Amino acid sequence: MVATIDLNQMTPGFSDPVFNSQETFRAILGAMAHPGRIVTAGSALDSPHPLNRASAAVCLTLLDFETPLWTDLDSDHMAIGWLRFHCGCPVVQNPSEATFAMITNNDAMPSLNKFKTGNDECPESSTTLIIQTSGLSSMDGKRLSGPGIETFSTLKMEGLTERFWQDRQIQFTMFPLGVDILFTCENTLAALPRTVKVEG
Amino acid sequence: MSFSRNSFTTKERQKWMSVLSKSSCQELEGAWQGISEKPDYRHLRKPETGIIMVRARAGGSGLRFNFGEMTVTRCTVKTDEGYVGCAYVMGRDHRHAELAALFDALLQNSGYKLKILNMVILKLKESREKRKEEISKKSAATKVDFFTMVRGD
Amino acid sequence: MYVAVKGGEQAIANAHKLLSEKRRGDQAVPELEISQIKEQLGLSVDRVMTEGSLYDRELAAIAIKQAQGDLVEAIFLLRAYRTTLPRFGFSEPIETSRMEIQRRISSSFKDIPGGQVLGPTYDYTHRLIDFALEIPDNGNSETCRAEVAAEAIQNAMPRVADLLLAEGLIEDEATDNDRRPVADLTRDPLELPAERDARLQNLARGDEGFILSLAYSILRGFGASGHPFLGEIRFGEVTVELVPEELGFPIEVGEVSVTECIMFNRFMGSATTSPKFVRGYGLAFGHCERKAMAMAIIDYALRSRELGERSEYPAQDEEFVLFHSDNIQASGFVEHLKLPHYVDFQADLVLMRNRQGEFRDGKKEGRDERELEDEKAAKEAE
Repeated sequence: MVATIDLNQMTPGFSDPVFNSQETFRAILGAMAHPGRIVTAGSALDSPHPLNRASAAVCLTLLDFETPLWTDLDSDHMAIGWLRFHCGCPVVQNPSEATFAMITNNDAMPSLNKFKTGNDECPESSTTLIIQTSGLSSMDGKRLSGPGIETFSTLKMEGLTERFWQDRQIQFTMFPLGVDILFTCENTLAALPRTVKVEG
Repeated sequence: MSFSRNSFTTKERQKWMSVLSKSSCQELEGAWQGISEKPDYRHLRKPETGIIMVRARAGGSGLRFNFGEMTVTRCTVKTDEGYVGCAYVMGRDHRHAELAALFDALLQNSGYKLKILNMVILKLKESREKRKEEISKKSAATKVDFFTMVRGD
Repeated sequence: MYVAVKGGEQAIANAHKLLSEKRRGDQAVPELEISQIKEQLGLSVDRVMTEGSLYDRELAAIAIKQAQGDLVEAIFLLRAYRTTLPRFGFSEPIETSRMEIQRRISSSFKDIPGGQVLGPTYDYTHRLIDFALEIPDNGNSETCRAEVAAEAIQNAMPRVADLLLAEGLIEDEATDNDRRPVADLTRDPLELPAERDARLQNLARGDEGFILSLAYSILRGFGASGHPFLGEIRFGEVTVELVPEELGFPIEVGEVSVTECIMFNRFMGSATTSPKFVRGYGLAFGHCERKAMAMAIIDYALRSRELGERSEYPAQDEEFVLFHSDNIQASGFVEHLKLPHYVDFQADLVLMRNRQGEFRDGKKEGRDERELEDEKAAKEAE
């Protein structure tokens, strides 16, 4: 049984759904096209705890009733009700059914191979992960190279486990299969598409 | 059920939501102007136009299939008294969706409910039924009785 | 192969201006209002909504005005518009048995419960041009007023097919498993073999002319084992219900008018199934009776594979039917020939010049053995 959405506690989403989602889409596009580049999103948004503003903006922009969402939040959590109300997305119990995954607790995050990695015919039918981090900066950190990066870029994401990076290395060898990742922190985000090689 | 604390049943709400969505925007605007104490409200979700896929059944009763889409506008408001009104109405009229959501919110408030049911919903329902009946009577005038030379049964 | 070409911007802008002027026509004539199209060209609006696969009378009317009455262009405009809108969900299946009926006839049974209701039909008109329409109102508004009966129609009319069902004479439409995913051609490309849900969606969106001609081919003997019978046609309004995620219960969002057609087809049975009538189903937005009837005939024709019947004619070939039914895809492909093909054609010019040269240089040269063999065989056949 799916929990009912408590509309009495509901807060608004984008103040201007059309323009705000276009703006956010442009930001995500820029981040995806230039892996490692930090862009801003959702600055004016009142996001429900524990989602940060960038995560909430990404969800409002990309999710709809045809994009199943997996998240590590409890199913009756207010933030889930908020996502279901504003995006209309179904919430699934199994990461392998999800088109998007929202991760708020990196320590308990499932291994990357638990998500959809696509298949040879449709490698794009994979999960896009939105991972909340406690810090995001382009000062030192990981060394990224690949399409969209002239030489290399650096990106530091706080709070990710060693196991996560091992998983990511394994997935990199599976290209074109794999997951794409958006890291968010407050009102900023950066992308790590499956095409990018991570070192360090 | 989450409605136990409410002064209305889901069935009642479905009925008034149906009347609100099937009435015209002008009718709702007129009714809204007639309400003396309008509550303050804010949008939880501003009026937004989208589409829904209309489904049908093969043979009228069998296998489901996607028949075609229709435009729908939705809106969710919250009054200052804390009532949340929802509307999904056919078409692209933002004001229609907003007014339908506002009336939905008011009708959940027992202070307004009876008055609005009688003053607004009942009237809208009656005028709609009258229009429908008129159309139906015109079709009824085209009912035929076929005569054959030998009635075969 | 297409080659990008640049330039012509000014010419295109001017062509658009010329088009607007042309669309407006003689400025001395009053401009069409959308409400006039909606009210007085209602059947055009219905066709545009059906094949545009979007129910919105006003949008369809604007599209017709914008397209100068070119309905396929108007359908294109509607299809393009819908891609800009978010989708909120799926309706509950519409209940055509609870239709508010404006027309309902059966040609299979004379006396049907609920009766035969002719409604607004052209069936019994004489197809003589009515010159009275040349002059608005013609001084007599009484001529456009319907008769009103004392009693309204009882809407809960049983389906004609149910009369046969009670006797076991007609295939029982399988009750659907509600968890079965429903094919959606607006999201996933058509794959063959196509199931009935995908076929019905394709036919509902399909071009009326194409489907009508295919249905005609069936009736003329290209595929039908027997003559289909019109079980029932209904036209009227049905309520559309939606279950919004945040409410969790169904609500009514409005009413759409639809035309529904059920055809009875004689199925002579197979080794495992007994002979019975099988339904063909047609459904269209608004009042599109010809389309709904043709669709019902083709729906049955395309069931030949699952019924284990021989399928040897074009209208029974699902690849032929389903891949060519969409007039937007079809006109896109045909009209793409207007795009610059300058380089391709240069290649063909060179080829043609060479071949003509070879032909002049000696008729036997430049041909391979196969061509010679073909020639020989042709001679023998003579």
